[in-house]
Amino acid sequence: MLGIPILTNIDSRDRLFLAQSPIHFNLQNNAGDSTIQSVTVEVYIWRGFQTADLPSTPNIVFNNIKKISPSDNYISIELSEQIQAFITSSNLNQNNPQWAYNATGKPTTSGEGVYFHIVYKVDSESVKQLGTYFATMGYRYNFEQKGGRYLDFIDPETPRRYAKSINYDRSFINFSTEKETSQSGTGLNGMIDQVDINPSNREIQTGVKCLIGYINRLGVWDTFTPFGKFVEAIDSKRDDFALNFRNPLNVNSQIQHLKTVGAVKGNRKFTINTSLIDENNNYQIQELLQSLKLYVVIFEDEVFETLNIGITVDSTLISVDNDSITVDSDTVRIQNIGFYSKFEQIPVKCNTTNFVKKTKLNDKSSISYTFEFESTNNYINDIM
Amino acid sequence: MVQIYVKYGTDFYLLDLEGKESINLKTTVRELNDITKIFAPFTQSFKIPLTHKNKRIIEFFGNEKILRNGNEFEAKIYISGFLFQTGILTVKEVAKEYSGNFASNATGLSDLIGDATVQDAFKPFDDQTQIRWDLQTLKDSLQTIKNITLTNGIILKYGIPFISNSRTWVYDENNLSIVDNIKHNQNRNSNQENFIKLSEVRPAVNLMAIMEHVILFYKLKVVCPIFSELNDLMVFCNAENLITQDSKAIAIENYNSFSVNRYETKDDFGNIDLPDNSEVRWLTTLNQTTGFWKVKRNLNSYPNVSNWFNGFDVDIQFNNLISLEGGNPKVRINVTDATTGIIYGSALIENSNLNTVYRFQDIPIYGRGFFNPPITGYNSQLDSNGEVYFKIEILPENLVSWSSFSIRTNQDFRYDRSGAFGSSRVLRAKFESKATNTQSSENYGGDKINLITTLPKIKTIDFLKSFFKTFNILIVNSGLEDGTMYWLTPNDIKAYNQPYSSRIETYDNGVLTNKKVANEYNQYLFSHKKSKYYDAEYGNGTRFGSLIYPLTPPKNPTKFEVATEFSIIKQNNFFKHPYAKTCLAFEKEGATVEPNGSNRYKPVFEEFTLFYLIRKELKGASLGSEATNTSNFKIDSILEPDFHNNGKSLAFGAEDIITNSLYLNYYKEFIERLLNPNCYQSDFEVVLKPNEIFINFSNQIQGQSNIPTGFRPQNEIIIGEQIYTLVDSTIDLTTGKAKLKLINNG
Repeated sequence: MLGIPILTNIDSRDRLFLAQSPIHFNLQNNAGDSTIQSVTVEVYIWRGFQTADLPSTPNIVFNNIKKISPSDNYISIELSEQIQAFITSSNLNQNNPQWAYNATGKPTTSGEGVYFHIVYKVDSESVKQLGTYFATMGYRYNFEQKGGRYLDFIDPETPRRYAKSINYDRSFINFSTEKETSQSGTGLNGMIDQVDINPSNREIQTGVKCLIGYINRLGVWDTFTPFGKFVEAIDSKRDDFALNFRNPLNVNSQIQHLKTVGAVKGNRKFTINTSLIDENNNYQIQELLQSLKLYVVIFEDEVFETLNIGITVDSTLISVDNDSITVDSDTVRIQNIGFYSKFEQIPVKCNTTNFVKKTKLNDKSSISYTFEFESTNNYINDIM
Repeated sequence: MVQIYVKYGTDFYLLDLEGKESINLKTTVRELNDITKIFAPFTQSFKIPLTHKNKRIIEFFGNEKILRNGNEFEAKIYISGFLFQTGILTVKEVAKEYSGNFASNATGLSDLIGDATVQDAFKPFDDQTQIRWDLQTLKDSLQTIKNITLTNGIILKYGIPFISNSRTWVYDENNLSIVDNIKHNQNRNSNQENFIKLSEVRPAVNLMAIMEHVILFYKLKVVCPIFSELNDLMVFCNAENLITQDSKAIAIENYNSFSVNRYETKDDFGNIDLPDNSEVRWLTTLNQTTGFWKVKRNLNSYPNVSNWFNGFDVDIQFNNLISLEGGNPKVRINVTDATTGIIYGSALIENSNLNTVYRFQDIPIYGRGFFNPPITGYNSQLDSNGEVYFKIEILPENLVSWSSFSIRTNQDFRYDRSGAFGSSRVLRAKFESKATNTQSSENYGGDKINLITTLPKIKTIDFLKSFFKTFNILIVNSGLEDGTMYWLTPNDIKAYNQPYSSRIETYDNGVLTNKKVANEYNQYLFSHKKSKYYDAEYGNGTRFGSLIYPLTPPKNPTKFEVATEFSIIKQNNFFKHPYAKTCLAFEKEGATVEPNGSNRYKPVFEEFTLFYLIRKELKGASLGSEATNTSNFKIDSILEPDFHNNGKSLAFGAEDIITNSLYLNYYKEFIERLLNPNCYQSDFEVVLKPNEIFINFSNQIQGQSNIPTGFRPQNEIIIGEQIYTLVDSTIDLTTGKAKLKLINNG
């Protein structure tokens, strides 16, 4: 080990990396000249609390890597593959990031990002540190790099359409945490700032069946509300096997199946139309198409009614006459009235590959898109 | 479903796989008696997708700059939740995905055994497998089978089969003087040939001890029902040499009657005082505690006198040195530096003269010079007192015995002077020191033979293969977790309600894909090793123990051949004894005729010969065995070698009246089925249900069947209204889709 990491606050945009794009570091000697020969780099990658969960040993070591040409005055390392691996699989028994829609509050999310910290040593010079960075599964556009440096990335644009009866929120990167208390998720001192949205102008079109949750360009969870046609289909596959019987003369062909069916595999597919949208919603359609992880939340028509209001203790609804009673997390409050109470969240992948941008100029008002999503799990549970 | 768990840190994590992996297990019944194929380690290549999790677990393979621990990972493969294999996953390549190769931890038996011989497996038990090979043993072991229990629990049974390896014995009640008549007669003495001699017989050990030891040595777990029938089956210890090259040297350490003597003097010089017997400055002494001799050079006292002009001499003499194998004794003697082990002199005594003296003349010791002290620059073996210790070692090269042993050193003092008429020796004295070792070879264990090293050399793998071929044994996995395997003859497979018995499994979804003639063979050959024994070949060219059909080879022969490395030996009718039968363990050709008119033949060595040993009482028709110079022992029973026992023969074909052959017992049913024109090989595609893929023992409840369910190669299979046995199967363990090659039973 070269030395113990000296952590720094994540307090500006240049301490954030969007790991689906490259993460380059050019390491130089003190003089910044071509006498540099080799560098050893230790990278710590972790999630949880920035200070408390720092690993005791580096996760990745670039050991004594040599420069390529004699005239080089730098040695380059690239970390995006490793950072991505640690974001999605920092826990090797689950796959991140995750999102769970919540009927009565903000969705529960986890695993959007990791901290990483670089300690390095050039030749026989003293050990140096590059400080602490935060990285998510977001990405930069190609025009956001110019002349050997990254330009500031562009925030996702804000115009959205909201439906009746659905809980909404937006997530942002929080650049105001302190290294002692900062943690990589949502919630108190979290790197992900999750903000409730109570739109004043909700579309009142009825028949909205679903919400699409997706990882946006910053690597945080975002939602899109389609208002158009919603078609659900199941593709099924099965194997047939012929059956033989002993004593064939006595086989009752009105009762016996002469073919048997092996495992049936049902695959759900959803064809969803956005309905007519505004031209400046196109950016969201693009992000949705390029998102690495998507969910479709299908709502049933039931909504919370007055009957449901109250607090529940151990899932039993009770009347409130005592302040000392503690409250279960899924308590239905008065503000939940009218919101969907029953839903099904389905992990999906997007089968639509082609996006032809529609504009007012070309398409006048008929700007709409149709997506096909496919469930990533079999309809019959076959998790083994 | 295939799952691979890979160790990362201290825990095992599941790799992401595409879900399309399949593991095919191929079983070919004809290969089930080839132990090298049964024990081959499991290997399988995998395509591992480049998911983030996989990248982490296999440490970003392919990134040149990242420090990694290597390309090999501990791994476990599970199929449908069953642990299938434990081993090492080696990641070798990355393109659109990682290419990994899994190899099980189990070492293949071929690698484990390699070229090791049966003898190698017994090496750690070398001291336990020896018996004294003398005339008392001859008498005892000709009549009864004895046991040695090895420390690993194996019981080694041995006896001397009633077989001569160099002559045809005669039994004649009336004419005792007939040459080679071994009928007992009190008056026979060692000048005669008319009794059983130690040098013409060899012991035999039980095959089961060898088999059980090999199984234990290689930590195999075996259930083999036929073992219980083979308790009397013996192997002939007919290695050419009774002594192995790596036999240990016998250090002679105890001496008696040490004496010194000055026996030749000459003193023309006049005023030189030659040392007498008591002077320590030259004396050869003997340390009785260690058995080391010390010879000492003349040091500075007489600067003009040298001893060991040409080194010193050592004379060695065996008394009554004889070979226990017949012929001349062969024994090597080494004179060795007692501290460094350097051999000063080594000689092979190979002489029929019983009391030969062997002289190690002029044993040179470096540092010798005309003048003392030793010439500078020589790396003297003498210590600072001018002394050297030596000891005597004996290495018999064939099995010999001797009654006692003498040693004598000779030292020479001399002074030569140059004069006007050339040089002349003016002074000389010779001294000898001698002692006797009165212990016979017996006291040193020098007349012991090792029952295992005297077996013909055979590779363990050939031994096992030959055993399997002899009894048409299939090696079948028991499915038990401890790795037990069953070694089954066709009869065992048909046994009633044993865990290894065949079970009739009905598959209700078989689809016939092909049907063809099962029999591609037109000649069947069953044989043991082509033996050199006297009676190995019949007049018509057929060989004892073999079976060939048809005898005249067809035009384009497609042979079904079973050939073992074993030999069997036929009983000979020349020996006319009312109760005992013998075999001729020598070659037919090349006999020499003795002066008394008898024939002496060339023994057959190094054939791994099997026979049953059955004790026969001689009921008064006693035989004689070699005893002392003046007497012989009376033998009232013998161990008769026979190639059959309880009606079961070791010959493949019928021999004389013995028709219950290996073919009949173990091969007939299968071969005859192949010869039947209604026998087809039918190829089926079947989907095995999950509980049919793996052997399961759920039925092992008292009162129910002992036979587990699930796919086993020994099972009989019903598809539709036909019953079949398996030839070949390929089962995709992940889906249960199986391709079966079956032949119909009748």
